[in-house]
Parts: sequence; C-alpha cells; structure tokens
Amino acid sequence: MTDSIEKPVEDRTICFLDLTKFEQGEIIRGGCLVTDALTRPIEFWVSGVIKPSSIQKILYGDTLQEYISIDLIGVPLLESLEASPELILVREAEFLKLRQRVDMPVLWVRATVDGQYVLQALPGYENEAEAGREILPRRLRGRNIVEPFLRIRSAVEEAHQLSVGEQTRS
Amino acid sequence: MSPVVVEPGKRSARMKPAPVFPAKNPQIRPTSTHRFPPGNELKPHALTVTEQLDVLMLGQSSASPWDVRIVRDGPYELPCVFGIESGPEQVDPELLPVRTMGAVFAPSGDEKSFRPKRLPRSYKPVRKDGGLSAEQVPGPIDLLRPGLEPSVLGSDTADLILPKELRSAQIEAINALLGHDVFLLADDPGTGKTVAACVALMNQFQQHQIRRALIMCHETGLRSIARILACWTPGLSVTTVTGNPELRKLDWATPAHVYIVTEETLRIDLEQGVLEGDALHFDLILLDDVQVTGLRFRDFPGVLDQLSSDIRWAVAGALPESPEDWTGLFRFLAPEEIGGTAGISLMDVKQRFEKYFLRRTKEQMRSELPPRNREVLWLDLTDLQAKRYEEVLAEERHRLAQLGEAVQPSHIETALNRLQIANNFAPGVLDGAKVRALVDLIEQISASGAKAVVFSQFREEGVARLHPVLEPYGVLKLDSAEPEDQHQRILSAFREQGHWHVLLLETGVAVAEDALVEATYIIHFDHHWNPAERMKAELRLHPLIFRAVPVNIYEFWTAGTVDEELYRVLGEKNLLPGEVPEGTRPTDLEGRITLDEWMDAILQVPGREGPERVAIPDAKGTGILPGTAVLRSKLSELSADTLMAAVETLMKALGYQDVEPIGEPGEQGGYVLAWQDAQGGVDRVLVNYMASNKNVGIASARSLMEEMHARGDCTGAYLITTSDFTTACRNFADETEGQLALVSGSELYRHLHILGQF
Repeated sequence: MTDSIEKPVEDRTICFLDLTKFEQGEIIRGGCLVTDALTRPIEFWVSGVIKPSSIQKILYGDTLQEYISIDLIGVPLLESLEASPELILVREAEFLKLRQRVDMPVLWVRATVDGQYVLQALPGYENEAEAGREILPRRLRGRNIVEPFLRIRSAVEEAHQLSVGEQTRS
Repeated sequence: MSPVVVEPGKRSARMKPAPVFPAKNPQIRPTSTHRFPPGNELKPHALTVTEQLDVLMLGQSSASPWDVRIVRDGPYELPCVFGIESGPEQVDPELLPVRTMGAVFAPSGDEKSFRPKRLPRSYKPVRKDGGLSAEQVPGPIDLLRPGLEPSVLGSDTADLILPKELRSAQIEAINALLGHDVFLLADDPGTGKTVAACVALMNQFQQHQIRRALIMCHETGLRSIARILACWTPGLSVTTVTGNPELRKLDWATPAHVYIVTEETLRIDLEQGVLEGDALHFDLILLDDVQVTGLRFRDFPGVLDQLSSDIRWAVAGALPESPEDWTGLFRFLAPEEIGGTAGISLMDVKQRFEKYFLRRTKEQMRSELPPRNREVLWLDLTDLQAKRYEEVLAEERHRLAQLGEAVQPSHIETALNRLQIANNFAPGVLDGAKVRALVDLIEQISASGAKAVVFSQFREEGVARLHPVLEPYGVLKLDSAEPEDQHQRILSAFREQGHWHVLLLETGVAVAEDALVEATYIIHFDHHWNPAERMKAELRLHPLIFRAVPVNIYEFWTAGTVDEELYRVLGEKNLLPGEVPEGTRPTDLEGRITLDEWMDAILQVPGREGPERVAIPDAKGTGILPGTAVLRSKLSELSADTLMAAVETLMKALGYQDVEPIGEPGEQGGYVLAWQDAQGGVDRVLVNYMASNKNVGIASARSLMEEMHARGDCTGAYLITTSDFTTACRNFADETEGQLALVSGSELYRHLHILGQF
C-alpha cells in the first residue's frame, strides 16, 4: 500500500471484480477487469460457467455463495492476472473475504441510502478503505466508480452468449 | 342452556356445583430411555437403498428425496410417486473449479509517431513450411475489448477514449446513424463525416449490437480510414484486406471486428471464391466517400449485392443529383424502398428517402468548424511508380555521393524535385497514386458544389499534366507561362462562374491582391519541403483577416519514399505545417535542416556515415582469381544440387553450424535456412541463392526481405548470385543496416576456391 500511495495516480492500475448471474440465478460467472487510471482496459478475465446443482446447494448451504465467490471466482481470476493492480474493487460484499487470501486491498463499493458510494474494507483492514480512496483517481470518486462494473457485466453477458469458456462439472 | 339474564340492579342466583366423574387409567406407562450418544460417537453413514421404492408424496411436491422418511412396518406410510435411487458413488457433491479465460490488451498505440502507420491487420501473417499462417490471432476475449473500453458516447467517459471532443454536428450525425439501420450521411467534404461514422460504429460494438463490420473505400482512402479507426476507435481489431491472394484469404479468414477493403479487391475475392459462405454476412457495412454522381453509369451496387448485412450506412460528400442516382444508391442501402421509383422526379425521390439522409454544408456548420483544417494524406506508390522512383533515387544518391564535400543546397533541391516528379505520375501516363487521390477528392468537392485550388510546384510535370485529368470537373489553369493580363480574367471566371470547380495553380504565381476565398478547399499535390512556403501560398488565398467559410487543406505525402524521412525530421523539429506559427516566412526556416541531415537522415546518401554493409570475412588465400568470363562459366557449370551444396558450404564457413534447404533446389536457385547459436538466442538467416547470367536487381532483394520479415524468426538474410548486383540493389542492401548481405559470384567463387571446391 505504501508503494501505491507513492506512485503517481496516473500510473496506477485498478482491478474491478464482479459476478453476473444468468437463468434466474442458476448460473454464475465472474469477470475481472484491470484498468489504468483512466479506466482504459489493460486486462480482462472471465470465469467459466458455475452451475451448482440442487444437491450441492443443499450440501453447501449458507457457505455456497462464499465458496463460489472466493474459491471458484475470486481467487482463480486474481491468480490469472499478469498485471499487479494496486487495489481491488468489488460490488458484492462476499468478495471482501478475498482480502484474507490475497496480498492487496479489497474494497467493497457500497451504495448508501442517498445514492452515493462508499468504500468499505473487511473488518480488521479498516485503514485500507481510507488509503484506497487516496489511490483512486479523482474521476472515480463518486458515481463514476460504478461505471467499469457495468462494462464487466456487459462483457460477461456477451461472453456467456458466445459460450466463452467451458461448462463446469456439477 | 338458556342464557342467564341479569337485570340491572338484580343479584343472580348461586351456581350449582358441576358433576364429577372419575378418570379411567390415569397412570402414564413408563417407556424405555436411551442415552443420547455424543457427537463423536455418531458415525454417519450413507443410507444405501438398493431396491426401488415407489413412494407417493402427498401435499408438498417440491420436497427432495432427503426430506422423505420411510418407516417400515410402522403405523405410517408416506406414499410418493418417484423412485429413489441413492448410493454414494452416484453423488458428487463437490463444486469443482472452472477455467478462466482472459486476455492482456496491447496499448492503443497513441504515442506520437512521425511515420505513416502500416496498414493494420488483426493478426500477424507468418510464412512457415512454405505456407502462410496467422499468428497472434485475436481470441474471444480480445474481441470483447470494445465493450470494456470507456463508452465513446458517455458524457463522463468519452474524453477518456476519444482524442478530442466531438463537435455538435458530429454528435447529431452519430445519433442519426445510430437511429437508423439504413442511412446516408452527405455533409460537405472535410467536415468530419468519416470520424462520426467510425465513432457510431464503435458505439455499435460497445453496445454489442454488432460483431463484424465491413468498410468499403477507395484505394487512396485505405490509410486514411485506418488512421481514423486507430485514433477514434481504439480497441477495435482492424484488418485491411490487401496484398496477394494468399494473404487476402488469410485476412478474411482471421477474426477481426472491422475489415477495410476496396471495391476492386472485394470484387476479385468474390469472383475467385476467396470470400464465401458465412463470411459474406456482416452485421454492418459502411461505404466511405461514395461517389454519388454518375452511379447510373457504373455497376453499382455491383459486388455488394452478394453481401448481406443488417445495417447499411453510406458517407458521401453530396447528395445524388438525379433520380437514377438516388435509386442506384438505395438499391444497395434499402432495396425494399425503391419500388415504384421509375420515372419519379428528383424532388419526389428526395422526399421519399428524406428520412434516410442528413445533408449539411460547411457554411451551415461554420460556427463550429476551425477556420483552417489541415490533413496529411499518406499514399502508396503504384508498382510502376515505385520502380521508377527507386531508379531515380539510386541515381540521385550516386550523384550526391560523387559530389562529396562539394554538395550544395541547390544539389539537394534538384534531387528533391526529381523525386517529387517521380512521385507525381507513373512514367509515360497520366496516372499515379497522387492522381487517383486527387480525382477522388475533387469528385467529392465538385459534387458538393464547392471550389478547390490545387497547387503544384511544377508547370510541365504538374499543372500541365493535371489539366486534362481534371477537365471533367471544370478546371482552370494558372501557371507562370500564362501572361499576366490573363491572370485576372482566369481568376474572375473561377470566382464568378459556378461550373468551374478547380483552379490549378503553379506555386509562386501571384493571384493579384484579392483573396480567393471562394475556394474552400486547398490541395497541395506536391510541395516544397519548407512548410512556410505552403502556408505563404495558402495565406495569399485566404488571408487571416477573412473569417470566411472554413478552409480544408490537404497535403499529399507518399509512404515508402524519402517523404517519410523528411516528415520524421520535420516532426522532430516541430516544423510540421500545423506546428509552424502563422505568418512564419520561408526564409525563417531555410537553415533548419542541415546539409548533413539532408544527406544522411533524409536522402541517406551512401559513402558518408551511413550504415555499412555486412561484409563477408576476408578470405585467406593466393588471391588469384580467374577473370569474369571464366568465373561465370565455372559457376554456370554447377548443377542445381551442386550449387546448393556450395552455398551450404559457404554458410558453414561463415560460422552457421546448421544449414537446411527449404524445398528442392531449382535450376534458377532456391532457399536455405542457416542458423548458429548466438548470445541471447539463435541467429537464424534466410538465404536465397540465384543462378543467373544477369545482374540481380532490387526487386529480388526487396522480395527476400519481405520473405524474411514474414517468417518472423530470422535476424537477417543473404542474397547470393552467380553473377553480380545492380547499383540499386547494392544501395537497397546498404539501407537495411546489416540485415541483408549480398554475395556476388566473384565472392562466392573466391570462398569456394579457398575451400577447395574449385
């Protein structure tokens, strides 16, 4: 984090991680977009199809969402990256627990009741939220922070339509 | 029992006691108790049922098999209608990891470069095993890139991706295009139509409305379109379909977002079946700079009829001027709309297609257009022109080399003039790359009703030869041979008579005191190296004090010639026309390029501090060689196999440990590949040996270099002949900075003689 703060804002790279659901939530795919400070894309990764069966839903129970988010989507996508982003931004709270598995800040972009967005870190890493805000380029402070997630969602939908990736074994 | 009625103020009677009955069997029988086993004593085991049970479940039909309790010999039975089969070997509860797929995106390449970019391809063609194959092919994730870029039309994101802000007229054009599957954008030339169309195209990709698009343009427009796409639509994979048939086949077959092609190339590829089947469908087809006048006399839409697409856009500099041209154009754009147009008037046909076009003039957009807009058009010489150009360049280099220290600026100017003339026209004809580009541009300008001035430095080799070329568009000529009293008459006719659209003007000829603001287009067909000379000519026509209709200025430069080096040097010195302050005098810039820079950096005259040829190591021996005739007869006696063996011996003597022939040796020669271990890897060279009685020319050297580059795995090449090389060929080898080495017959003989072959 110290290195990130010293790096000029325009040289920083940011990772946006999100998941998209299809077929009324039966199918899940993850997408990970690394951008430069202008949110121009540097790298993009998409997971294959994750389709838990009814038995698996029961057996995993409440742990299913976390397992999918962290072990099947988050960690594999981040491990695929060639770039080393300074910061990972997520829109699903489940991804926050990635912080325990990776060595870089993971911040949840949480919407507030008044339509603004705040950055929230995993408990125990609270100082990273404020530091993360400093890393963010000025133009991403505000509603613009959500825009790259829309691109991920759109790209993952297109990838799904084109059947990119292999089917999961479930 | 009747209800008790209590009247207010009255007391009720006392209730009688209820009867009492004894309870039967009041004792609760004891039952057995069992110690509940702690968790660690519980051994879960899979319930294995090996028989089929028919169980009927009443009520809740969504319960899974795990919710069913089957009690044997008990008082309750829950009948259900599905069979239960379970066994631990049939259930795999683990949710397994899935594959990830991704791509790292190359930077957009928006760094400043003073060279014309290569015509783009979405992949890299490589020659291997005698055939052409595609490397670095875009994968499915690469093709998602447009949607991952900031939106070109987002108010918060457009500035992140576009090189500059779109004008409101361009935004209006983009919205019109996006709102129609069929559309004609027909604004005046030079108002940014093609940029608007390309940005609209990018938006379609970003919204995932289209996946594959075709842009058809003129030959001279290929570079211009490629440049606009590179600047305004970063993230799109673009392939320019050009080159030999084998390469074009690979172009069509390799995935890309956008294919750029000329009508001629498209026609040939369709006729030869290079493009067929599903490849005939594009989600969007864009026709750039359509010549809408005289469509009825041309085969339009011609080959386009064989293509299918959902969205069809056209960009032109004017609207069609006859009903037949309208129906001709819309026969492609919207064939279902042209029914019943036979005999229709121009006004009616325009009204019928009203919803499908947008037309604005420069005058209408005046407030938002810059007063002067300058555009550099890079053009590629035709094969005939390139051959002649190389000859002239070789001659001039030789002449300047001979002059040595005595060379003066006037010698440089003479060389530049000869090269300019070679650039202007192919030998013996009124054709050439620049002529074609000029005709395409004048066609658009005259169709829009505007006027243009075309400058040339040369009277005979410029203005005079261009006159007949531009005659169909209404051209007047003013050169130094014209008597001065005629100048005013010509200028007045050009200003006042609407049918004169072009004034051919020799640079330096005065146009009297009056400005010529009627000409809103200026074209430098050829030009002095000094940008201030051009600006002086322009200012004479359009003085700064006039804020007339905006002027578009075009400069023709030729790729693959000395123009590239001159442009690079000017750019490094901030002397490109757009960078020189208005009002700079030509004399202010005269010494800015030194004689050494002219000789070394731009004209690359050999024998100075230029690159050295890679020399064959000096042989040790008697040094006694036979004369040329004997030499040639000795070498010509060698059979194809023996010559190849001799070449292999030579390459090994030069230090290459491994030598491998490529294909069978022919009577005329062949190829071998030679390599050796070097620091950092393998040093591999491609060798072309030729059995010939004539001196080998530059074409063979050029072809070998192309082959070498196409392979992608060689650091250099050797061209070996049993005869000798032309001067042009030797000069070409010098320019390769050591990548190409030449071995003449005498050198080959000397080495073989030393090695005991002769």
